[in-house]
Amino acid sequence: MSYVAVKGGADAIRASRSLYKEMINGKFVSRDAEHGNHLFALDRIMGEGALYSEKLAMEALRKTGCDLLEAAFYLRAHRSTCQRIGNCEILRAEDIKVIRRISSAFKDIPGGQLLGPSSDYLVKLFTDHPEKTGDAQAAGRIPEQMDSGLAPLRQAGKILQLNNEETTPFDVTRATPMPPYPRSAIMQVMARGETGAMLAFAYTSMRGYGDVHPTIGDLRIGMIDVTYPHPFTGKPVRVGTIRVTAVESVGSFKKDPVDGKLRLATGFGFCFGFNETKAIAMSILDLALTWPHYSIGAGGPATSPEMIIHHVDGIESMGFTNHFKLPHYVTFQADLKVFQAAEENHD
Amino acid sequence: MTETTFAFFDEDAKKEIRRALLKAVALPGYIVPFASREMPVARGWGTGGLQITLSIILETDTLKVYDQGCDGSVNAVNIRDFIVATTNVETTTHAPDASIIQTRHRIPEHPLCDDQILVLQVPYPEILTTVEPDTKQQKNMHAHLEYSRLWMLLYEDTALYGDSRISNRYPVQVNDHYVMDPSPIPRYDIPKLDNNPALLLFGAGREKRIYAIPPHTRVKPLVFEDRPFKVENFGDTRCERCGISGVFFDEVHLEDGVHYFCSDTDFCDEQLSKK
Amino acid sequence: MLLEIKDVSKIYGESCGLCLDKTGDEQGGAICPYCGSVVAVNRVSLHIGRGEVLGIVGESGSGKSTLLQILYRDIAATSGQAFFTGLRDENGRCRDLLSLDMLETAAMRAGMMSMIYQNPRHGINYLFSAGGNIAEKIIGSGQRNFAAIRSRSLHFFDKIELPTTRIDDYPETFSGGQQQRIQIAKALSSSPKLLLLDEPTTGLDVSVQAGILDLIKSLQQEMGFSMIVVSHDLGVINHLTDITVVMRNGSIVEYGLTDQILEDPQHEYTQLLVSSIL
Repeated sequence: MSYVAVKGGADAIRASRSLYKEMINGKFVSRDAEHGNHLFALDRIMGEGALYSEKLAMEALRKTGCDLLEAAFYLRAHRSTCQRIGNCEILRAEDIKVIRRISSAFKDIPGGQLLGPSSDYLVKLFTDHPEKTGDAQAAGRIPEQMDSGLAPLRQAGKILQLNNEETTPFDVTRATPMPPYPRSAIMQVMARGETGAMLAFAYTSMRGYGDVHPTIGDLRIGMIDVTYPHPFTGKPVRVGTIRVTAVESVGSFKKDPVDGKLRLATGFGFCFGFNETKAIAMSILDLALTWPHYSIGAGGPATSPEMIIHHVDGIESMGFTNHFKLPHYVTFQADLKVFQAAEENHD
Repeated sequence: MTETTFAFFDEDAKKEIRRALLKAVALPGYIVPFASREMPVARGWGTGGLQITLSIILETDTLKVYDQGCDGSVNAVNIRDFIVATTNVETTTHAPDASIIQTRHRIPEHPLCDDQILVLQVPYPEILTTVEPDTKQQKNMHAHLEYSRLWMLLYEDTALYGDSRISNRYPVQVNDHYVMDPSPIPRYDIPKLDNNPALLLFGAGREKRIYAIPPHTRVKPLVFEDRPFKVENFGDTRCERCGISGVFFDEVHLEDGVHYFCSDTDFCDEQLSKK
Repeated sequence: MLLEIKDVSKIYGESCGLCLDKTGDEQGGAICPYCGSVVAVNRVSLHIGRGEVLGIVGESGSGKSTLLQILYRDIAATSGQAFFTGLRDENGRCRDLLSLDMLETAAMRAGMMSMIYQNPRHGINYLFSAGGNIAEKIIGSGQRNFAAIRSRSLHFFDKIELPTTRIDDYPETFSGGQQQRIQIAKALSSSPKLLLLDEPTTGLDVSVQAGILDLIKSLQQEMGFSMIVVSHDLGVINHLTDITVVMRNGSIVEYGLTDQILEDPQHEYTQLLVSSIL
C-alpha cells in the first residue's frame, strides 16, 4: 500500500494507524497479545541487551518491574553464560521482509513508500479518534526483497563507497577495541547502544555541532531470517527469524579520496527489534563519525569516535552511575584528610 | 475530539503566542522566543506552525495545509485533520481560496494576495546554527548584525565549488537588517519572499521561536554583488501529468525509471483542468 | 601621530587604591603587597607616528604582551585611554579605542589595526582554507564582490611568497613557518595602518625566522604601515624597529632609538638585557 498517488495519503494514514494497533496487540510478534502490548519494550531490551529472545526479554521485564535498562542488563548477563557456536551468515538489509519502508529523500521509489504500522500518524491525545479505522487487510503481501531507496543514486555512482580494509568484523565481546577504532567495532557498540544516549549525541549533531540535517534515504522495519551453516551438510539453515530496523541516511557531498570526484556521504544504522529512533540516531552518528568535514561543529561529541564508543553503552554507564551508591567511606575519608591538610596549609 | 476549547489551546496560551506574533511582525526577521507547548503531534513535525495557526484561526477562515507541495502528504493530512477536529473550519486544497495556508518546505506556485496568511513550519529558526551553535553568541551576532561568518561560508563554497552549498534554508536579509532562515524552502521559492503582499509567519515549536515577514517587505538572499542568485536547474523538464515546465519538480523513481511531476499538486491540478 | 596611549593599566585581582603606586619598576615587583593583585601593566604611556616601527622588549611577565592585547581589544584595560587618528564618533569627537563595543572593535580590526600572534592558531581559523582566512579580513571590511575578494586574497598570498596554487588548501597542511606567513597575509589584507606583532617568530626554526623577519620588514617598507613589535629577543627588535621601549614589572624603564639603546643602554635592567645577548 504505497502513497505516491496525490489523493492516497489519507487512506494510507488510516491503514497505518490500524496496522499499528494490530501490531501492539500481537501481530508481527512471535507470541501473543501480551508480547504485542510490550512490543517496543521487548525490542528495546533485546537491542540494548544484545540478545534476541522475546521470552527472556519478557521475563526480564517481569523481574524488574519494567525497568528497561535493568532488564537489558539481565539479557547481557545471560549472554555471558551462552556458549558461542559461531557467526551466522551475513544479513543484508535488502533481504529484510519489510512491513514498513519509507524514504524521505524521494516522493516515490521502486518498491513504493510503505507506511506500515507506525505511531507517526497518531495524534497523541488520550481520547481516541472517532473516525473509522482503515483497511489493514489491504496491506497485501510482504515483499521478500527490497532495494534501498538510495539504490538509484548508488547505481549512478553518486554515493561514496566506504573503503573498509577490515576482512572480518571486530567483536567487542571477544576483544577490546583500541584506537584507531575499527569501524565495525564502533558500529557494533552503537547497535547495542542505549537509545537515549545515542539520541542525545545524534541530537547534538543535528542542532549544529556536526553535519546539520541529513536526509533519510531508506528506513525499514521487518523480519529477517537468520541462517547458519549446518554442522554436517554445510548448507545454510534458517535458525530463526528476528525483527530488525535498518536506516540509511544521506549527508552532504565530499571529495571521494579514491578519484577526487564529489559524491554523497551516507551513514547506516541497524538494531534488533523495531526501534526507529535508535536506528536513525545511529545512522546520523555513523555519518558524523565516518565522514567528518570542516565545519564549525567539527569537534562536537558526535564527530568523535572516542566520545561515542565509550559513552553509548547503557549497561556500562548505568552500572557505573549507580555504583556511586556503594560504600565509599574509605575513599571519602581519604578525601577529607586531603581537604584537612590543604586547609591547614592554606591558613 | 471531545475537547471543548476552540482551537485546542486555552486563552492564556493563545494570548502569549499572539503577543509573540505581534512582536515578530513589528521586528521583521527577528526571532522571538515563545513558550512553545507540547502538542499531540511530535516535536519536529510542525508543532510551531500548528501553534501559530491555532492562535490566529477563526471560524470563518478557510484552511489549506500541505507539505512538500502536496496536500495528500501524510504529515499535512494529520495536521489538517487535527485543526479541523478542534475548529471545524472549512478546508481547501486550492491556494487562492485559502485565507490561512500552513506549509512545510514550499511556498505556493500561485501568487499570494494581501488577505492571505502563510504559516511556515520551521525546524531551524536560527540561520547562524551552522556557523555558531552557541545561543548567547548567536544573539550577540544578530544584535551587532555580525554576519561575516555566513559570508565566509559563501566565499569558501564559491571558491571550492563555484556556488554556495546551501540548498534549502538559504540565508536572506530582511529589510536590509536581520539575516533570517527562510525555513527549508528550495532556492526556487526564495524570490517569492520579497515584497510579498501576504503576511508570512514562521513557527519553530521545538526550538521555541516565532518570526515574521510583514507584507511588502524587502527580502534578499545573501549573494556576492557580482554573482547571481541561482535557483534549482531542471532544464527542459516538463511535468508528466500536466505538461508545464519552469516550476519546482518532484523527482520520482519507479520501477520503470525516473519521472518528474509538479511538486505543487494543487497547481498541477489547475494546469491539468485547463488542458 | 597615529596612536597615543595614555596611562593604561591592567590589574588582575580585587585591586585596592594602592596597587599602582606600590608596584612597578622602582618597587621591584608587579604584585601589590596589600591586596595581592597583579599589576600587569602600570600606567603606560606611549605614542607612535605614521610609518614608525616601535619595539617593546622585556622578559616574560613584563606586561608587553598584555599591552598589545589591550590595544587589539582581546582583553579590557583596567584604566587609561588610547586615541587612534581617524577613530571618531558620529559627532566628530575622538573615540577612546579602549571603550569600543563589539561592532566598533570588529570595524577597527577590519580597517585600522591587525594583530599577528606568536601561535598561528590564535590568528587563523583552521576550519577555513588559507585563502578563506585572508578573505575573512577582506569581507570584514565590507567587501561583497567575489572577484575582488578572491583577487585580493591571491594578491596577498603571493606577497607572502607562497604558491598561489595552494590558496584553497587548509592551514594544517602547511608548515609552521608557512602558517605564520598566512597569518601575515591575513593581517595585511585589510591594509591596516598599524600592525601589532606579538613574538612573531618565537618558536620557529632559526633559519625560518630570518625569512619571516625579512618578509615583514620589506612589506612594512613597501606598504608603509606602523608596527609595534613585542619580543624578548633583542635580535628581532634590532632587525625590525626604529624605536624601542623596555618594560619591566608593567612599567616602561627606558625609551629611545633602537640603535642607541642597544649600543648605550642607560637603565641597569636594559644593560643586563643587552649584555646577555649571546
